[in-house]
Amino acid sequence: MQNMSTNILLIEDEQRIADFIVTGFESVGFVVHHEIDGFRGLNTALIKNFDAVVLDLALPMMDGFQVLTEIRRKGLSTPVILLTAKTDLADRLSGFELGADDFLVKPFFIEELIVRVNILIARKSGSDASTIAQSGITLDRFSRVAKWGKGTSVLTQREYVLLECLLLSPGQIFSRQQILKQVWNVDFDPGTNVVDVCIQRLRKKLSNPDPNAQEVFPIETIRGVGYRLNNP
Amino acid sequence: MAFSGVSRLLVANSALEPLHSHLSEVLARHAARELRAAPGPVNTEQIKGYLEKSVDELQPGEILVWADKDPAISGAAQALALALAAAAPVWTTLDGQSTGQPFEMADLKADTQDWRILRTPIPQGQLYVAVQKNVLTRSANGILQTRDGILRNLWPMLLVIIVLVTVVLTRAALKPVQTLQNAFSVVDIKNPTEHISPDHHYREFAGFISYFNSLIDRLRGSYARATRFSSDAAHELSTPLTIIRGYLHRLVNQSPDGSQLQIQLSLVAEEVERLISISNKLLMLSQADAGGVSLDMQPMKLNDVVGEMVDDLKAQHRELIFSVDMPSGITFVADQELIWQLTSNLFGNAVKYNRPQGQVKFKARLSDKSLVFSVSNTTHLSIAGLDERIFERFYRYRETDQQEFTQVAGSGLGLSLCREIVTAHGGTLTLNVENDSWVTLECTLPCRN
Repeated sequence: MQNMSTNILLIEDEQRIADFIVTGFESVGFVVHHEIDGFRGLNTALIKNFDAVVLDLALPMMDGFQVLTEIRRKGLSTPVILLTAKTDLADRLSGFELGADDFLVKPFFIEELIVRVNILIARKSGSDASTIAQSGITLDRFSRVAKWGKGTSVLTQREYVLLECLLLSPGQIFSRQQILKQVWNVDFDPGTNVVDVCIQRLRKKLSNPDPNAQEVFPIETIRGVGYRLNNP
Repeated sequence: MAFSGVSRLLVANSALEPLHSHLSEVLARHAARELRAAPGPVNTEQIKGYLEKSVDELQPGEILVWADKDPAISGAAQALALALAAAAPVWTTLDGQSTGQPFEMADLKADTQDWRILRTPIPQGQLYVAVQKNVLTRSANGILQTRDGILRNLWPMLLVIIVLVTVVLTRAALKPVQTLQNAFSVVDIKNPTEHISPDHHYREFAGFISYFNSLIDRLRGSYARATRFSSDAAHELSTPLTIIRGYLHRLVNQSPDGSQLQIQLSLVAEEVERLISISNKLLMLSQADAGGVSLDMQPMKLNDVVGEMVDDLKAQHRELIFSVDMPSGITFVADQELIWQLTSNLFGNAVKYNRPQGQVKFKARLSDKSLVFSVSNTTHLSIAGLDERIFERFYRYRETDQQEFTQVAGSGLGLSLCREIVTAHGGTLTLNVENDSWVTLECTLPCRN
């Protein structure tokens, strides 16, 4: 899904956040064009072609809502994901009304931003997004059937979201807290092992019944840190 | 009844004299009118006949009329005239204005009868009209009884009228207050320009209205400051936190797997997560303080939320016994994300402060008006001192004063947040402590359709 030609426009006035997002996207092979205010951002969005726009709401010159309105008024259907520091529902709702495709509240995980941008691009291009294949595991988005080697299993909602999360960011270590936040959407207190239990269940469901199989299950436990889907 | 009693008392006390005088005047007026109607020689019989007609229930002989040098004088009148001449009473003048003819009046006792004598000059001398006093008394009593009757009949109606008038007056007096109250109740605190105009109200309220407007302005000022603080704080905190978390995460990824450095970095990352969680909670609380928790009200299924959560917890805490007592298909309207946070906080507490091999119970019931659900748990803590303070911010329950804070997990914000979530939904969250070491948090949410 990620390839060298994926172009992202980032409109963000906070230089430190921008640097962090740019390096994050570049580390997975995206090309990022960064603009620091709404006016330049809009100009660039209208002149060049991008696969997706990451748009901060609080911007100088023109705020994110105005930029979004203009982009849609000019007939551009580029996927737009909004970044905001506010948890205001009103912001979120008016964002969607104006034509935003997704919404992420700061502080966010860069992996989550990348995953969401990937999903938006896949949805836009109409590519076969019904299955995700990574590191030998395939996951059907509609039937929630996961396959690894000869093992096949229907996953529960939680197991599905957890596996999808790992499959979309291969090679990234996910801490337990991060998984809790992204999969369970809640910050339970540290010390919980609900994540470990879920990972074990996944492993058990997908593990190859053939004991002679040499393959190693691609979801790796990093001791004391978290989990990672190994990138072959 | 009371009125007739009063009138009888008056009769007995002979306090009827004013009425007697009045009736005497009436009689004199009638006589005067008859004299005017028939000029020429006075016909005493005709006058007597006329006067007798003007008095009800009159017995013969109770009124006598004669004149000086009257050839047709009756025997009774003759006797009375003689008695009158003999007694020579003191004459008092009657009010001549009402009769148009000078009348004089005297009382006479003759043959055990009390008489009232009226006289007025006529061409051939004086015309005398004598009436027995008991006739006057009878008439006076009749008048009093009629008055009593009217009062008796009017009494309930009078009462009704008094009540009605009072109600109407009270309503009228309170109406401006009610109008003002209605005007107060629709003022939108979030609208910076809305005030109550004194023009539509009574001038007496002008001072009150301007005081209210100034209060509203001060309130709006605080509200705006609080709201701005929360959004500013959100912006200021979220940027560094995003960056710290992002780079920490990158460092964790880049350091050698399983290395001491990686583990330490991930511990730092855990603390950063805690910091982010606290700052999110504080932001929500400050939003709640500013009255600004906006709710995304959607129909949601309690069974799904709780079922999922309990499944997770069962997998996670095999040593605890979970029980759910809830009718199937509870659907209600609420902010899904907040209710999720609320229930997960409640369950989180129930697990965190439980004892080994303890229990967690969830109960829910739905009525027309409200949804009530509770999370109960056994605990290893001695809970005698557990009270409302657990809903205060940063409050940590300690069994003894000597116990260190560090021994207690959590930020001390969870239940405070829970209460704000429930309050934002218009409900209540209460703590029940039972002596056999059960702690229950019960949440009541009003049902909306």
